[in-house]
Amino acid sequence: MKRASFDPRRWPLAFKTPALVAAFMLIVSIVMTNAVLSRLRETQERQLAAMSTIYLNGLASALIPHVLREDIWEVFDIVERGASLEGGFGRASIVVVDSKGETLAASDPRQAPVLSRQSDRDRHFRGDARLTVDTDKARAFARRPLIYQDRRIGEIYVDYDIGHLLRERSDVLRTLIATNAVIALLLAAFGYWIIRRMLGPIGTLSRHLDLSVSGPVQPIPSSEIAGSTREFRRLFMRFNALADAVNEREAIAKELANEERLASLGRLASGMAHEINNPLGGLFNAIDTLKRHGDKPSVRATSLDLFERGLKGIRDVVRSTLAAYRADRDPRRLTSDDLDDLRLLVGPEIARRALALEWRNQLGGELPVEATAFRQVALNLLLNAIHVSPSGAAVIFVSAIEGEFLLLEVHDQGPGFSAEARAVLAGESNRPAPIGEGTGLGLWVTRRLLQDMGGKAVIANSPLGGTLVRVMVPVGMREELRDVA
Amino acid sequence: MSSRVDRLSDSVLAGAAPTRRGLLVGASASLVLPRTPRAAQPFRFGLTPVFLTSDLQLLEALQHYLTVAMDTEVQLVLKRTYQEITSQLLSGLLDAAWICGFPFVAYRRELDLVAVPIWRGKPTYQSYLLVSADREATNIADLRGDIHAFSDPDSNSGYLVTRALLAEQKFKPQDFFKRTFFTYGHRNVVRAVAAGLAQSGSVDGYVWEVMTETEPELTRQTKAAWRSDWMGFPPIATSAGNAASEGIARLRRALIDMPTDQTGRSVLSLLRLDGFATGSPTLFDSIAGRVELVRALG
Repeated sequence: MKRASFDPRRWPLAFKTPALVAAFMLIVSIVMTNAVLSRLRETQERQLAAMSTIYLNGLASALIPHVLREDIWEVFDIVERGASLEGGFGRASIVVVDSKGETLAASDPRQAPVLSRQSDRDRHFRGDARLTVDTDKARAFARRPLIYQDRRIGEIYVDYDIGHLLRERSDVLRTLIATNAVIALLLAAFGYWIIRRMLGPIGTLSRHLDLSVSGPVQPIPSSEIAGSTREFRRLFMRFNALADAVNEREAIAKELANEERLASLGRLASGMAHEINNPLGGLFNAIDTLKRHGDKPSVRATSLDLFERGLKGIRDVVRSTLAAYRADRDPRRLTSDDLDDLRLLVGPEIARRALALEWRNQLGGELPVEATAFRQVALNLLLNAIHVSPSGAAVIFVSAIEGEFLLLEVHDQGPGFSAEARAVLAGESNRPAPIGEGTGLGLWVTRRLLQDMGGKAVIANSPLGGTLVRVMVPVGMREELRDVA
Repeated sequence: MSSRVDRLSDSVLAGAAPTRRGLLVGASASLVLPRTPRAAQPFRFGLTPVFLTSDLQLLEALQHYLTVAMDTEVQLVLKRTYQEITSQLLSGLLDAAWICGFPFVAYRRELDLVAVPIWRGKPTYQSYLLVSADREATNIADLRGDIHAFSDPDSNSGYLVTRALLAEQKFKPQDFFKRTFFTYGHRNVVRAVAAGLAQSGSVDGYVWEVMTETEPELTRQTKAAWRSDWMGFPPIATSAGNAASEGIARLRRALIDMPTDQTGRSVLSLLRLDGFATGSPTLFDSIAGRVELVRALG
């Protein structure tokens, strides 16, 4: 499981999209909530102002005659009756003052006794304002001068309980928050579901690509293609075409590798025929000599000796060839002799190219390494070295045990590996076969064989001035596996 | 304000003629009740809400009882102040009226007694100095500097008693109290003191006692700091010239017979009264003494 990243660019799409939806919803809801609340506040204050104006006008018309006569009782009777407001405003607090600012009467006389001064009430108001709202105290303060024949004869002060207006605001706020939260959550969940659904085919594609790393590319089943959207159907069909092409190419490469092996065997066979042909000439000469001078014991002995040496040479060539064929049919463990056979096999090529082969086979006894595969690797590398070496150059073959590994080194004085050949031999394991590039195929086969054995090849500079290919194949582990099998 | 109080009360004390405004208001505010075709002129009987609140049930029952008992059409006339009622009574616009002892004494020569109510077995009542229930006060000296509520400048219990009490100590209300005002109703005095609009008030003891039964939540917030001696209950009076008329005789009979009649008993029960008696003008001597005392102070 991958660790969660703090970089939002690396978050999965299935998380990012719902989160974005929720974030947008949050922004929209903040803007909306502000707009709604400020609109509600405006409406409430406008209605409060209208209500207050109507209310105060009504009070004033009832109060003016009594204020004119300074009739404390009638003023009290009116404001006491007028103090209880309908419509949720609770009980208003009303104070009526005369022109000197002394209280005539108040709806709650204990709070504002008769004759008390109410000058501090004006501090609630700014300038000529008739209404101010104090949301902290949940009160609204209103005032209205009592004007009679253009003379100010007193003033009415009212404070209203606006708790219900504030409650309405907080109710609206709560409703908005709850509604928006639910919508945001639903949208986020829906977004998650949609994205998961939309990204489903990507998962399929990814799974099939993962499978192709460890084996042949598996085409996406047609049932799955039929169930996907048009875009993905096209993508899947192209992937399947690609998979077919890759698989076909892999098959061709295998076939080519086989052919290459046969071709190299063909080349070796011609060398072997030459090897056999040389003693054959000597043998026929010996037969002629025997026919003519067979009665002489000295000639007979010399001829027989010639026979023996010539047949020995033929026997060696035949034996090594047989070994090569037998190995294909019967997997077995590598012996030192298997490598020495190679010397015999490449001998004709060495001689033809007038090269000097230094043979340092330091192995002894049987090794838990597959003989056929390893011989093929060694042969390919040797043939490659011979092929690139200029005439008269030296080629060194080294094989030894180094720790847990079987070590194989081939030195040459050639111009070195091309970048492509280097990549084929030592590069990534999944690189395709270099079809149509000539000698590259032998290297690719070598790499595949090494991969099967769990080994690897390293290309370096040889002390001879050319290239050194060093091959390491593990020894211990494969022994156990074989025993188990 | 206080100067106006004096002016109003002084007009009564001086026996001044009723004002034109009072007459006009009185005429327009008369309660129009169904007339019977039997009499050309209905019997006009005046009442004020100073005495009791204008309880429609009471007025209907009273009007019905009087109409039947007097065998004549009776029209009840309601006025806001004693002054209006007194003026109309003196000017002959009313045949009889339930007035206060103070105007009766003030216009003793022009008025004659018809009947006196009997409350708790006696034709007398008291005046109370009312304060809020949580206040420590036992006499008028404790009320100095108060905002004081009077009921009516022509009321004995709601004005004259307190004024005379102050006059004994050579005080006038405007000097003794910080501020005074009239509520034109004994019930309003109780409301003003209960609400805290006034720190004290002068009230009819009978009204306050009745209210302890009808509106205990209001009277519970008040208490009587001082009670006066017993004085003649507000009487039913008529103008002296009309006293010997057939209508007045019928009215007196109807009032005195009230406890014997079903409707009459329900009226008395609403008023919490026992009945009516002929009564004697001497009942109001103590009120006359107070009038003299106040007049002497000037």
